[in-house]
Amino acid sequence: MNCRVPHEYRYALDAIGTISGQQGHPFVLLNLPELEEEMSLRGFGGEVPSLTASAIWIEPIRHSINEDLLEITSRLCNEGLLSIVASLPLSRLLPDNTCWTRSAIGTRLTGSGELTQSIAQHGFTIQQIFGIHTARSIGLNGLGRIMERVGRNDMADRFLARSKELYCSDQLDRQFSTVALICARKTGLRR
Amino acid sequence: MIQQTAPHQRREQIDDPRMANTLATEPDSKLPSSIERRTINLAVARLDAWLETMHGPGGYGGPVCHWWQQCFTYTGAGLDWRYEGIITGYLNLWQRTGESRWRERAIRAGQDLIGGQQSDGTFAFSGFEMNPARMGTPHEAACDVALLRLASALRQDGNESWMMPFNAAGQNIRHVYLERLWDEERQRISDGKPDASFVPNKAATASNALISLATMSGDAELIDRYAIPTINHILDHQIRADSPFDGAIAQNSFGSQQIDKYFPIYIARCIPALLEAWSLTGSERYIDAAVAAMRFIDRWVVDDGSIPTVVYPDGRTSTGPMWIAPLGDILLAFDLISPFETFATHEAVLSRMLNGQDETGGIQTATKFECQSGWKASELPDVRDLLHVAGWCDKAFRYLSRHVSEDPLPSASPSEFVRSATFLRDEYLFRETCERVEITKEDELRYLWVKGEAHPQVAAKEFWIR
Repeated sequence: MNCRVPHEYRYALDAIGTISGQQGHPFVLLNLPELEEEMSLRGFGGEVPSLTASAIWIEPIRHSINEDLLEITSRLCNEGLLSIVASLPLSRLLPDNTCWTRSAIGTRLTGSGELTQSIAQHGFTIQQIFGIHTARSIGLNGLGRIMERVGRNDMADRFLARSKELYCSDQLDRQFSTVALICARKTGLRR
Repeated sequence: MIQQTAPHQRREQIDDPRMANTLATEPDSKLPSSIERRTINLAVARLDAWLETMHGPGGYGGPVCHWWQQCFTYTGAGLDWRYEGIITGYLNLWQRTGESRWRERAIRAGQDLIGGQQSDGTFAFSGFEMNPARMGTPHEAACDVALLRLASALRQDGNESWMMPFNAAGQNIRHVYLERLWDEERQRISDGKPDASFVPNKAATASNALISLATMSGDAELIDRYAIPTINHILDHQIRADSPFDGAIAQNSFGSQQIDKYFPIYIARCIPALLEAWSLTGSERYIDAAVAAMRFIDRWVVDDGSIPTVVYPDGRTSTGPMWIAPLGDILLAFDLISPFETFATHEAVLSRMLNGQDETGGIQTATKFECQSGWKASELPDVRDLLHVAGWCDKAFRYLSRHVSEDPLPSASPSEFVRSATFLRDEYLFRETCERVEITKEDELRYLWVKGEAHPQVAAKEFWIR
């Protein structure tokens, strides 16, 4: 298994597969080379038509956000679905994430707002935002580790199972997660 | 000790590749007295009919539920331990009934694995509950065991294509298990070198694969240098004490730290390797360990044939989920250990597994899955309880295929299965047909997998659960 890739990114890619799976091969803009193998396992990437019905944008980077969005806009047909995976500030606390998300826009405290604003400015309407690996899930995992240390492996296993149930949220607590999955539709600029 | 190949005789077989044909067949063993052969015949015919509905491009697919993780979002072929039970089961049917259709099924399954093998020797989508993923353990070794059984059976039949599965398994074993997972310092097959993790049941499956390859190739080094030292580490993880935990095998270890959780189905999966080690070396300590492991499992069987999924060191247990189809591996262990000791609980466990077969012909996975996270069981089964999973049903299929009569199996076809169910505290309707698995909530379609497709057409957020 490719253990270098944190679970939440793989989770987000699987979720995208179910969201855009019926729309043909998506255009992919990948700013995290570490995810290439995971993308390939899911059939994302490779040759795609010049105009696609869906697009995947992994880890928007602050200095290239406008260039990336222009490219995506040019490759995505009208009403096409854009799925964005973006690290959030909480990801900086996880030891296995920090080395490859430093310049990601989402990891800045104001990053999510800047990102959604840029998306809207380029003619996209946000449909849904999910937070993946929520603070509640992280907290339950932590409680599980405490339970392990005091010899209650049974309780630890329950906390772990419960943490998986709360791993993804589309409620207000979604912003307190390590990764965001943003689903937006290209609706064109309204003047 | 009866009807077992004498240890030294078995060791001599390794040095004589002509004897490799013994791999192809699983020996007969007795059924519990109250279970009739025709019941088994029908159950196997129905399982085969259901398995056929699960076979699509590249192999057997479908969603997966497991203790560790769920996989509802990848539903394509999984080249994992499901093939161990499927190929062995079809070879058993071929051997027992002489019907060539079972050989064709086994060959097709072998072609799935060979077709999915990557240039580095790994199998695509071998992660089972972690799919899509590669380098799944013990899954790749289980595939190797299956391929080597197929190769042996084909060679015995005079079919020259036996080299294909033989070479595929050999490539995987050498490139994955010997080059990547062999821990020279600790002298064992690890579960990943960086953290020096060791998982006895996975090491057992890898040892089975090594011994199978040695049996076919005559390369005894695979046994002496790799398999037996690895199996010795399994013994190091076993409790031997005058206590109810005697025979229990710890789930895993990191370095010198053992994780003291005891999973009966995984302990059962260690038993074939322990018996192989006894057969190869003649050392009684392996047979003692295997019998003790089986006695430990037996102590935890409840009257209804259910077994806790986990037993913790303080005697607490996890009874959510409690397996049904996966019990096939425990029943197989009962079979294998029967020349040395028989267990009265065998019958109850078999009845529980057979009772889990429903209209689809598949066998349900478990009961009380929703209790895993601490919730009390509701009156309805969890969606994951009802789910029929190729990588669990194969275990039932393999066990049952050992017990069919020599008559042709009866004809069977799957029927529609509909049940109310619960999932994450909400109520759903679960429906499976030959063509699809669909789950609705208040008439809203929340999950739809069209059989044969690599992803569900519909998967609402709750089914992204891992």
